[in-house]
Amino acid sequence: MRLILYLILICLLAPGLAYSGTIKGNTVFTGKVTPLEAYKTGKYKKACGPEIPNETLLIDNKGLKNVVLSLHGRKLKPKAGEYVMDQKDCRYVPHVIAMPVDSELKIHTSDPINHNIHTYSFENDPINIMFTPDQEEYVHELEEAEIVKVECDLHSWMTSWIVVTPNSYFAISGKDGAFEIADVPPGKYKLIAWHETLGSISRDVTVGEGEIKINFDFIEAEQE
Amino acid sequence: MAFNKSRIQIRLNAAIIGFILALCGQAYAFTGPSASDMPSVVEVEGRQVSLKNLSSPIAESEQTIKEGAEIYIKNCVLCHGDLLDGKGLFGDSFFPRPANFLHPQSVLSKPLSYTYWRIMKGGPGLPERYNPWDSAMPAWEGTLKEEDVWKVIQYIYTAAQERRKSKETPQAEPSANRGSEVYAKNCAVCHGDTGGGDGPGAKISSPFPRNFIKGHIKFRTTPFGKIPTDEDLFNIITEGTPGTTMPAWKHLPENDRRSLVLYLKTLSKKFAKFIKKGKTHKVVVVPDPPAFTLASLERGKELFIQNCSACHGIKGRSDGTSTKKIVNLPTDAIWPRNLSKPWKFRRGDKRKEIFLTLRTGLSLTAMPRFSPRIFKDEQIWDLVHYVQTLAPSQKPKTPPILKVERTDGALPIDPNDPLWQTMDSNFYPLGGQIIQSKIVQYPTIDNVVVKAMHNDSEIAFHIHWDDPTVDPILKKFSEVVESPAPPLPAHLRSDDPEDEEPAEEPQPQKFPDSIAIQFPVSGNSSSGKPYFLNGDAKHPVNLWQWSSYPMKAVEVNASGVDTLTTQSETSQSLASKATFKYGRYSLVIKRQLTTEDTQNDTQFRAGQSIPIAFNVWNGSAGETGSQKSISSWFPLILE
Repeated sequence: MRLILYLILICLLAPGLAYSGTIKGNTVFTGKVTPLEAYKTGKYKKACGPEIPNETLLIDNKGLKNVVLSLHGRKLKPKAGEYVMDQKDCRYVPHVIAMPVDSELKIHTSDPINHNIHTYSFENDPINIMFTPDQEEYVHELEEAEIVKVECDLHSWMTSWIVVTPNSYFAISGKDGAFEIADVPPGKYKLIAWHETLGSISRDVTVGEGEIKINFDFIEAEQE
Repeated sequence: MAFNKSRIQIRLNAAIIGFILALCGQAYAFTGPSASDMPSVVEVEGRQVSLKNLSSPIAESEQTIKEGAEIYIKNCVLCHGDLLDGKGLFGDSFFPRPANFLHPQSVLSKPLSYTYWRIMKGGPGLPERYNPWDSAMPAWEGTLKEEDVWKVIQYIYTAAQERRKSKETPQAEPSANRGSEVYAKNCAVCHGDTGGGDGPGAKISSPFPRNFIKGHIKFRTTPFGKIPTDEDLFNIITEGTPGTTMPAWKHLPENDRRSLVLYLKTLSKKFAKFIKKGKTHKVVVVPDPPAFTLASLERGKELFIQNCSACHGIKGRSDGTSTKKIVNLPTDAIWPRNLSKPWKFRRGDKRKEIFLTLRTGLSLTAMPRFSPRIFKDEQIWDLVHYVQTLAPSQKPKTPPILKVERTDGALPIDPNDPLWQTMDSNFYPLGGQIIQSKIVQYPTIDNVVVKAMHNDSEIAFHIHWDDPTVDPILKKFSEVVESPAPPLPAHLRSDDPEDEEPAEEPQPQKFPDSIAIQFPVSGNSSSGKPYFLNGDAKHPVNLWQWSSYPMKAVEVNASGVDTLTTQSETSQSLASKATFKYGRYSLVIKRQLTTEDTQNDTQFRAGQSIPIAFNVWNGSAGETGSQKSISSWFPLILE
C-alpha cells in the first residue's frame, strides 16, 4: 500500500523536477547621470589606499550594477547558506550582498585599523560591533526578509547593503547589468528589482518551461 | 503558609515604601499657599470666576479621567513626573521644586477650586509672600481649555488617591492577561495601545518611548541587538531610566511587574520565535571588579582614546570627530553620553553597570558592544577605571550662596588664567524653557559652573558649560581645541601635508551659541524680585549676554521672555573673552561694579545680596529667542 503511494508521489514529482524555467534579463538606467567622484582618504592614505570608489551608482554603458532581483511567491522556499562580507581597504566587499532568510553572514576584517560595523535593521537583530585588526570572524544569523543598510560609525564613506530575501530565487546584476535566476518552478510570481540609489520596480511574471526575458530600466523606478 | 508569608512581606514592603515616601515628602516639602490664601474671585480669560462655590462643570467618568491623563502627560509630566511625585525630568532644575501631588499637604488636602486656581494662574498668580517670581509653574489660562483643566484635575486627584492607598489586595500569579490590564492603565499613554511607542506622551519624550513590537530593548544583559531576558525587562520596569520620561515602577506590586514582563513579550514575535527555535540567552556575566591601579588607568586611557574618543571626545564630553555622523538631530538627537556627568548615565554609574554597557552595547543607539573577542575582562575594567576619572566623584551640589571673592589687582579676562583655578566652583542646574512663548523640551545644556571675583572696582564671572558642537566661526576669533580623531598606528600615519583636509573658511552657525547672566535692574528691592524668566513689566532685568557671532558680550534689558532689548552702543561697557576646548565653552565676562546708567544697569556693592540667574542657547540645536535653557534665581554676595 505504502509502496503504491510512493510510486504515485514519484510520478507526480518527477516531471516537476525536470520542468523548470529561467528568468534572464538586463537592468539598465537610461537617464542622465553625472559620474560620482571617488572619496579621497587623506590622512588614511596608508591604511585605506588613496581613493575609495563611490559604489552607490555603478553604470557601464547604461548597464546598472548591483541591482538585487528577488522573486516573490508563496511556494518558493529558502535554502539557508553561508555568506561572507569583508572589510578591506576601508570598503565593504561586496558592496551589495543578498541571501535567503536564516542564512549566516560571516563578517571579516582585513584592515589594519578599527572599524565599527553598524546595521540599521529592524526585523533582524541589528549588529553594532567594533572590529580591531586581526580579529576573528563574527557570524550573524539573518532571520527575516529585510533590506539592511550597513555603515561604519568611524568612516563616513563606508556603506553597504545586505538584502535578506524570502527564498533562494534571487540574483544580483553584474557589471553590464545582466542577471539570471535559474531553476524556477513554474508559476506566477512577482519579480522585484531593487537598487540602493534608484529605488525599486516590481513586475508580475509567469514562469513556464524554458527561458523568459525581463528587462528593467530604472528610469521608471519609484524612489523609496 | 507560604501565602501568608508573602502577604506579610507585601505588607512590610508597603510600610517601608510608605515610610520612604513620607521621608521624601519631608525633604522636598511643598511650601505652597494654603487654601485660606486662595482669593475668593479670580479673573480667568477676562471672566470673573468665584472660587468659593466653584465645582467642576464636567461630570467625572472613566473617559474624562483618561483624557485628563493624556493632557497631564503632554503638559505637566516634564516637571511633576509620570508618578505625580514632582520628580519629572526637570524636577531638580527649578526651585521651588515642582509640587509633589502625593504629599499629604498637597492637592489632596485642598478643595478642587484650589487646584483650579493654581493651574489657571500659575506661579505669577501666587500671593506675594509666596515669592511668585521664583515659581516655574506657568499660568495655563489661555493655553489649556477650561474643560481640559477640569479633566486634568480629575486625573490628578484620582491618580494621587490611588497611589496613596495601601496595596494589600493579594496578588494573583503573574499572567499576560493581568499584564495587559496593568499596561493599559500605566504604560499605554506613552508606549501606545499596541506597543508601537506612539502614545500621546511620545511627543514630549526624547528618547522616544520604546517600541515593543520590534523587540529591541536598550538595556539588557544580552549582546547588542538580541532580545532581553525576563529579568532584564523586570529590572527596567522596576528601576526606570533616569534622565528620561520613564519612571521607576517600584511601587507596583511585584506580581504586576512580572505580569507586565509576560505581556510585553507577547507584543513582539521575536520572543515566541526564540523559544520555537530552542535558543538560549547568552547573558553577559559581570565579574567582581579588580582593584583600581595606576597601571590599569594608564591602559584604560590608551584604550579609551583608541576606541571611544571618536564619539565621546577626548575628555568624554561627546564632541568626537564621528559624533555628528551618529546623532540624528531632526529625529531623536541621542547624543553619546557626556561622561563627565555620570549622574546622567541611563543605566547607572556604578563600575559593574558601566562594565555591562561596554560589554552589551546599547541597542537602537550607536553605542557598540565590546565583546570578549576584542577585549578581555581586564581591558574592560581598565576602560571603566579611566571613564570614572573623567567625572567628579559625585554630582556637585548647588551652593546656598554664590560668593564673589575679593581679590587685589586686575581681574583676569582670560578664562585660562591660573587665578581662576583658585576660586570655588558653583554648580547651577538648568531646565528647558517650557513656560512661555516658543518652548524647548529637551535642551542639550543642562548646567553651568560659575566662579566670581571682584576687586572693589570691577566684578568678573567665569562660566563654563558643555556643548558638543562649537560655533565654527569662533575658530576665526578665539582659541578652539577640538577632539582629534583616534590616532593611527605609527606605520600607517601619513606625514604628507597635502593629505590633511584643507581647512575651510569658518562660517557662523545659523543661530549663535549664547549665554546670558541675569540680574534684577534694581538689585534686591523690597517690593520683590523680577519674575525669574526675564522679568516682568514692573520689575525689569539686566542681562549680560555673550554670543559666538558677532562675538561679543552686550548689556541687555528685558521685562518678559520675548522682550530682550540690547542697550545703546554708548551704554555698553562689558569686557569678555571665550574659549572652546573639547566640548566645553569657558567664558569670562566683566564690568565695573557701578555704572552711570542706574536706570538700566544693575549696581553692585560689597556685602549686598543680589539674585543671579542664567539663560543658555545652543544655536546648533536651533535654540534662539525664547527657546533656551533657563535657571531659577540664586543668591550672590560680594565679599
